[in-house]
Amino acid sequence: MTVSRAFWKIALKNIGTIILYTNMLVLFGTMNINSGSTTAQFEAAKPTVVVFNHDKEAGVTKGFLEYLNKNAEVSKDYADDDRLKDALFYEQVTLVIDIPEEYHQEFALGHDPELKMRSSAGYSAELAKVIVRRYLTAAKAYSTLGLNDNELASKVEKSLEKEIDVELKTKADTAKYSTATRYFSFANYSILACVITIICLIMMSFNRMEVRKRNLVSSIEISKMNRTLLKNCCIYSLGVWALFVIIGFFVLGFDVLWSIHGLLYIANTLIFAGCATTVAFLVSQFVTSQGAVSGMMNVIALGSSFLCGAFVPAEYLPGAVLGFAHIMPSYYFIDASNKIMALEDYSFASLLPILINMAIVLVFAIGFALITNYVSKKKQKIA
Amino acid sequence: MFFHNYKYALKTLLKNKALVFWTLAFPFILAIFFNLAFARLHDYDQFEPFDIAIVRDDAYNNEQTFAAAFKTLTSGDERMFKAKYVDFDEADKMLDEEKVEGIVYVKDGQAHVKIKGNGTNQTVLKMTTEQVAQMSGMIDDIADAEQQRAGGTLNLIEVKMKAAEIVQNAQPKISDDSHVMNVVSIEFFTLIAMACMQGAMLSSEMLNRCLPNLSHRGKRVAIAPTKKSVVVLSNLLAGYTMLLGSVILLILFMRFVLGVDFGDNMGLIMLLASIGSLTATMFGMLLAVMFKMSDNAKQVVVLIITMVGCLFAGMFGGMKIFFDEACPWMNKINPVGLITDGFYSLLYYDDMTRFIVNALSLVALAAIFFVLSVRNLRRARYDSV
Amino acid sequence: MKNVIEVKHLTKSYKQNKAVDDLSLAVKEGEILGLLGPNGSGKTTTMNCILSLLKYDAGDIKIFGKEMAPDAYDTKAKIGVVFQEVAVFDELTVYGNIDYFCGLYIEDKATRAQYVEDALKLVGLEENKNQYPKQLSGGLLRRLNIACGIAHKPKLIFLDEPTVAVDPQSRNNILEGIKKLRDDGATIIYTTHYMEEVEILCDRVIILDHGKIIAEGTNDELKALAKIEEKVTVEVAELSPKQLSGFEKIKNVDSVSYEEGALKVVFGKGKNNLAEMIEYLKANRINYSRIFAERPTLNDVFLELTGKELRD
Repeated sequence: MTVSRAFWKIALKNIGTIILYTNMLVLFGTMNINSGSTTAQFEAAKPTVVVFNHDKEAGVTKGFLEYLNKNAEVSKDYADDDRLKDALFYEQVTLVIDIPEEYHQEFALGHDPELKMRSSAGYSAELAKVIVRRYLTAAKAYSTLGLNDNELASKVEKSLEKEIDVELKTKADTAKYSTATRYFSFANYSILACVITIICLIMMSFNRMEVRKRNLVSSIEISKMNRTLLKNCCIYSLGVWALFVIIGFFVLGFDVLWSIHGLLYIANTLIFAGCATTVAFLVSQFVTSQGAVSGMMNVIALGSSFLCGAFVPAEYLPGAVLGFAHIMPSYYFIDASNKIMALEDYSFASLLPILINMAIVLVFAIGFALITNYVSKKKQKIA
Repeated sequence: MFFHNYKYALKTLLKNKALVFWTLAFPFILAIFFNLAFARLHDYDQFEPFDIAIVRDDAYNNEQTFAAAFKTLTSGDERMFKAKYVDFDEADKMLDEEKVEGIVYVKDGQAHVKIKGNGTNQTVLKMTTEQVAQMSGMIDDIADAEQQRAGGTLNLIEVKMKAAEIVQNAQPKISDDSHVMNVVSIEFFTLIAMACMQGAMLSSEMLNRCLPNLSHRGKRVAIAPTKKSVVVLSNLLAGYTMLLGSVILLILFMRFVLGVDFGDNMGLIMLLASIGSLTATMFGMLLAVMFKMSDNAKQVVVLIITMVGCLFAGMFGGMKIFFDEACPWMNKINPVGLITDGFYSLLYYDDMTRFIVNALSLVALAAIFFVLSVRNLRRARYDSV
Repeated sequence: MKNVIEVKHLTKSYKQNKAVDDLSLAVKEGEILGLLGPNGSGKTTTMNCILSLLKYDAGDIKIFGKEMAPDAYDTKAKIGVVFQEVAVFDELTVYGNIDYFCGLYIEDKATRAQYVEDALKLVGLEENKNQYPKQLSGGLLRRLNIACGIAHKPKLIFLDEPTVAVDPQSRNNILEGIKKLRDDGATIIYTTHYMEEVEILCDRVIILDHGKIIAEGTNDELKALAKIEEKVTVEVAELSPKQLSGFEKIKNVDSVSYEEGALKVVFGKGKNNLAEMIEYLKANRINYSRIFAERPTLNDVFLELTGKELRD
C-alpha cells in the first residue's frame, strides 16, 4: 500500500510531463490518420492530373479530354507553376499534361505531334501514364485506317470501353478498416512512447541510489515490491490504452470500432499496452537520468515503429528488415492489426492466427517481466 | 584566452554523453531506421515479376491474339509475370493458398481476372490484362477493316500480323520531362534539418555555462577577469563547431553509406547545412538567455520544438504540403521547414531563387535571434543569481 | 593597515524582501574576516554584490581602492572566489578543471602549469589529479572546488561555506590550506556557520542577521559583548523548588534552571563566581557529583544577539 501511494504521488508530480506527452501523441496520431499516406490503398482513388490544353476541343483532343475526365481526377486548381511543382513532388498531382496548339489536326495528318507531360513519383503516376498512353496508342493505331475525326474518336472510345471482368475473391472490407489499422498500428509508437517515458520517470525516483538502498534494507521482499510497482504501472498503462481507445471512437467513428473487428483491435492494443508496460519496467532498471529516458524511449519507440511497419506498411519493408522485426513484440502487434483488417469471418480458424499473435505478445510481456525481476534481484547488492 | 576557452568548451562537449547522443548518435540512428524502412519505397520503379496462374483451356487458346500477347509478357528478361499454366481448379487452389497473386482466364471470348485482396500486384495484373484485351481487340478490329477494304482477299494470318505491327508501332510521341524524385528523400532532408535544429541544445548548454544567473560555473566565469563577449563567443563557436561537425558527418554518412541522392550540389548542401546550424546555434543562445531553466529542461524544450518543427516540415509522413496549404507562414519561420525546403528546392528546382530565399530567411532568423540575445546578454549585473 | 574592501550603505532587495539592508563594512589587508549569520541572513548576497554579480539598489563598493564593476578586469584578476556550490565540469579531470578555471586568469602556459601544481598540493589532491569529479568523495570534491577558486594565487579570497558536509580530515586540510593562503599574504573573507572554525581561524568576525550587521569585532571583543560571563553546571541528584529559588539570590546570577539532574546557573559580570557557588552548595549541604564552569562561546553570543541557533 505504501509503495502504491508513493508511486501515484510521484506520478502526480510528473503530471505536466504526462499531459504534454499524451496530448502530443494524440495530436500526432490523429494527424497521421488524416494526412494521406502515399502508400495507402492507391487503388481506390483515381489519379489526379492537371491538363493545360492549348488546342481546340475537337477531334482526338476532345476524345482524349473526355477519356481523361472519365478515368482520372482532372484538377483545375493549379495555375501557379511553383505550387504545381510542389504538388507533383508530394504526389498531390500525379501527372501534368501539356497539349500543344493544333494537336488534333497534326494528329489526324499523321504528323506525330508531341504531347508533353511531367509526372510525380509513385504508382499513381504510373497509373496516370498508362491511361494517357492507352488512349493515344489506340488513337494512333486507328488513325492508320484513315477515318475522319468523329469516326476516329468513336472507334477509340469503343475499343477502350472493352473492360475485363474482375472477380474479387474476398469478403473482407479492407477499405473500411484500413484507417483503423493505421490508427492502431500507430499505437505502437504512441503507447510505447507514453508508457516508457512516464513509467521510467516514476521508477527513476524509486531506483535512485539513496532511495533504493532504503528499499533494499527494508523488510519488503524484492519480488513483492516489483510486483506492486508493476501492478501500478499496469494501471497507468490501462489509462493510456483507455484514452487511446476513446479517442479512437471519435477519430474512426463509432460504427467502425463498435464491431467485432473493432473489439479485436481494442483487445490487441490492450495486450500490447501490457507488453509495453513490461518493456518500460525493464528499461527503467537501467536509466538514471531524464535524458537517458528520452533517448531510450525514442530509440525503442521509433525503432520498432519503423522496423515493424507502424509508419511504413509492412508490405513495403525489405524482407531482411521484416525478418529482423520478428524478434520484437511490435511486429506481432502490428501484424495482428493487419490480419484483423483482412479478416473475412469470425470462425475459429480465421481468428486463430490473430490469437496466436496476441499470445506471442503476451509471452514477450511475461519474458520481459521475468528478466526485470532477475535483473533487479541481481542488482539487490549494490556494486 | 579565446582559444583556451574554446578548447576546453569543445572538450567538455565531446564528453557530454547526453549531448553527443542527441546531436550525433540520434540522427544517425534515425537515418539508419529511415533507410531500412524506406529501402523498398526508395526504388519502387524496380518492378519485380510476380506469380500468376493462367487457365489454359480451349477458350483461352481460341483467343489467339490475347494468348500470344500474354506469352510475350511472361517470358524473357523483361517479363512482368511468372506464369503457371494450369486448369481452373488448380488455379483456384493456388490462389487460396496465396501461391499466386491472381488468375487469368477466358470465358465466352472475354478475359477474366480473379484476385484476392486489393494489393499493388493485383492492380498491375488487372490493368495489364485489360490492356492486353483492349489491344487484342484493336488488332482484330484493324485486321477486319483492312480485310474489308481489300474485299476479303487477304491472308488472314498476314493481315493479323500486319495489324499487330500497326498497333505495336503505334507509339504516340510523348515527351516526359518529369523530375522524379522520391518523396522519401524529403524524410532524409528533414532529418538533416532536425540534426541542425537539435544543435540548439549545444549552444544553450554552452550559454548556461558562462552566465552567472544560469549556473554556478557561470559565476566562476563571471568573476574572472575575462571579457564576457570573449567567453560567450568562444563557447558559441565551440558549440557550432561540434554541431557542424556532426551534421557534416551525417550528410556524408547518408550520401556515401546509405546512398541517399543529394544530386551534384554537395557544396551548396553543406552551405545550407552550415547556415541552418548557425540559426539553430543562435536559437539555442536565445533560449538560454531568455529562460532560466536547467540544462535538462532545456534539452527537453529543444527536443519538443524540434519535433514539432519536423512535423510541420514533413517528417512522419509527408505533411509538409498539408501545412503549406493550411498556414503558409508556418514553414517560413520554422527553421526546420526552411532547411528542408532549401534542400528540396536545390534538387527539384532549376533556378536558385527559392534556395536563396530559404538560405536568406535562415540568416535573417539567425540575426534576429542574435540581436535579441545580445540585448539580454548586455546586462552586466543580475537581479538574482 | 590598508582596507582591501570598503562597502558603504549597501542595500539589495528581492521584491518585498530586503536581503541586505544599509550595510557598511571594511576588510583590512592580510586579515581573515569571518562572516557569520544564520541561513538567509544575507551573507551570500553581500558577497555576490561585492563581486558585481548582482544588481543592488544602493551603495558603494570599492576593492583595492577602486570602484568594483563587472568590467573591472584588473581588480577581478586579483580576486579568487570559492562558491558554496561545487561548480566544476564533470567532463574534465581534476587537473583539467583547475587548469580551465586558472586559464581564465593566467594566459602563460608555463606559469599556469606551475600554479595548477601548487593548487593541487595546497588542497592535497596530487594523487587524484587524473580522476574525474564523479570519482571523488564529498570532501575531495570540496577541495577541488577550492583549488579551482584559488589556483591563480589571488590577493583577495572569498570563501563561501567551503566546509559544508565535509569529513573531519578534509576539513582540517582545508582549514590548514586557508591559513597558509593568509600566511602567503592573501586577505580572506570566510563565510560559515561553523562557530569552531571561526574561533580558530578568524582574526575578526562580523555577525549578520536580516541583512544587517549586528555585531563586529575580534573573538574576545564579541564575547565581551555578551551579557553572560560564565555558565556553571552542577550535577545534583535531587533539588527541591525551594532550594532552586535559593540560587537566584547568589551575587551576579542571571538565571537558574534545573533539568534531569543538571543545575545550570548563568552568571553575569563578576569574578570568583565559581568559588561563591561552591561555597553556597557547601553552606546549604547540597550534595553534588560534578561541577564545572564554561566561558561563553560565539554560539552563545549569537544566540543572545539573534535569538537563533547558528546551525539549524
